[in-house]
Amino acid sequence: MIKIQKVSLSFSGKEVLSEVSLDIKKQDFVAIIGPNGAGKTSLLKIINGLLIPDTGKIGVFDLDPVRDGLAVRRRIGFIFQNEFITRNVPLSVKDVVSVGRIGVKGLFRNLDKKDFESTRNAMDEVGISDLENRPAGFLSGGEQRKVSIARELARDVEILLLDEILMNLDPASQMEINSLITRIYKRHKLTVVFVTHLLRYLPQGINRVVALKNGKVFSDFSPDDFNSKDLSLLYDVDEENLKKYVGNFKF
Amino acid sequence: MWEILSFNYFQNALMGSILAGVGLGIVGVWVVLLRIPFVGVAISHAAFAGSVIGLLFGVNPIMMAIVFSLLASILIGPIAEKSGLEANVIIGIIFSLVLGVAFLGLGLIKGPKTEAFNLIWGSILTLSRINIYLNAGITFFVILFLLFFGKEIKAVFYNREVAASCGIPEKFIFFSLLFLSGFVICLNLNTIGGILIFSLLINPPSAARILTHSLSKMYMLSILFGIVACLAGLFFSYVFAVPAGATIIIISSLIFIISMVSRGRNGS
Repeated sequence: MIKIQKVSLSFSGKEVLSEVSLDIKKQDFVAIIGPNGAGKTSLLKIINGLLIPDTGKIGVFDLDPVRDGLAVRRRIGFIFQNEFITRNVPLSVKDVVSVGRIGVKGLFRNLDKKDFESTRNAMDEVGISDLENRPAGFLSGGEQRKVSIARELARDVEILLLDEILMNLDPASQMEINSLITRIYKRHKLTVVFVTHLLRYLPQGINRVVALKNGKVFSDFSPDDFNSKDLSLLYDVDEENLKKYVGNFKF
Repeated sequence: MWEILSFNYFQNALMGSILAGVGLGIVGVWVVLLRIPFVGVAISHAAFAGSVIGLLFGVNPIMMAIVFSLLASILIGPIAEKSGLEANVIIGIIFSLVLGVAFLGLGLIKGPKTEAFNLIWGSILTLSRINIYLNAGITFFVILFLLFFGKEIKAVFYNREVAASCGIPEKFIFFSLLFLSGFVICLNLNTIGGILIFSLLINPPSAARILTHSLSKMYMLSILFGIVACLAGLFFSYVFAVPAGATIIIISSLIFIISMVSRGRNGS
């Protein structure tokens, strides 16, 4: 479903991704981990065509995200790491969720009954129907995350790219969002790529962990095969110190 | 008192006021929600620089004012995109550049410079029919743009990056909003003046934003406040024989203050 072949990307002379190759199959649930600056977010943005690689090839649904950007993006959901809803813009929860339908609809066509039905179903599924008329900018962090998830769900996407969506959430909200993602993954048979730093709190169902380091694929394992030694090598920290911090590591 | 309505210049001023209220009311919402309020100042000074250059080289100053301000509004978006800097920073750079060009030109002009300064102070009572037709044309176009691309504009206000990832042509929408804002500001310079237009661009939508959490209501209230400020300003300027532009601005500021005071303690 996503084929990345020897993709490299540089910003101002600094190589962010270096000959990264990755093959993500339909209904894979992949966690991407790695130190800050390892290239995780850049990789997600390359997948949906928001960034153009310097070299290498990328195919999504057998399309080229660089050439067919709009067509690819309309089938991929993306929740950004610093996404928050500003109070400056007067939009209700329903307005924000319906933004997901706008790209699907295309230019010069108004949202119709089917779009509003998709919006309503997505809000129901995520459990925010009671908030639909609330100003979105005034919601809590956890509620705003649910609104973003509903927005992508309303689009009927096939791939979901999630970039550190647990950031700035309290433990209860993290657990709730994790189980929501697992439920959505199973119910909609999606392909999910989940970037995270919260290694001990991965959503259930993840079948693959790809670790990036210095812009390269450091390891590509099943979650069961990853241990404290791998983790200490990935983050360049002493294994004993790491054990004091996280105990005997297991996903 | 009502005989004033039979004069052509006052009819033009009335129509100019209504068009300014509608046009600036709409693009004011864009400018406030995109958080680029100083675009008004940059565009009006680009027009000023254009008119100075026009006077210097013997070209129609109004035409040069339009060319310069449109050029400025076309350039903001792509330069911000290319440089990776915020649109507000580019607006500041363009503002300082056009101000430099204007002052350089002023120093070189030997004859009278009144025509150039007219764009800075505005002169609603000397609006021509051509001004009205041009304003009506761009206001109509802005309304059409809003009708055709309203949903995409909403997505861009929400979050440009999310809009792009949803498959919405957000660059086209963002650049168009900047360009049309520049166009409307430029064509209303004769009505309100370059310095005062800033207030009419910001006060009505800000007052509207305080009163509502709905985008469509914000548009409607902003247009209403813009028209009320212009017409009331015109009326009081006639009754008390004071400058129209300044009166319009004071009334638009009063509308903002009243909205703020009437808002509930927690913004409800």
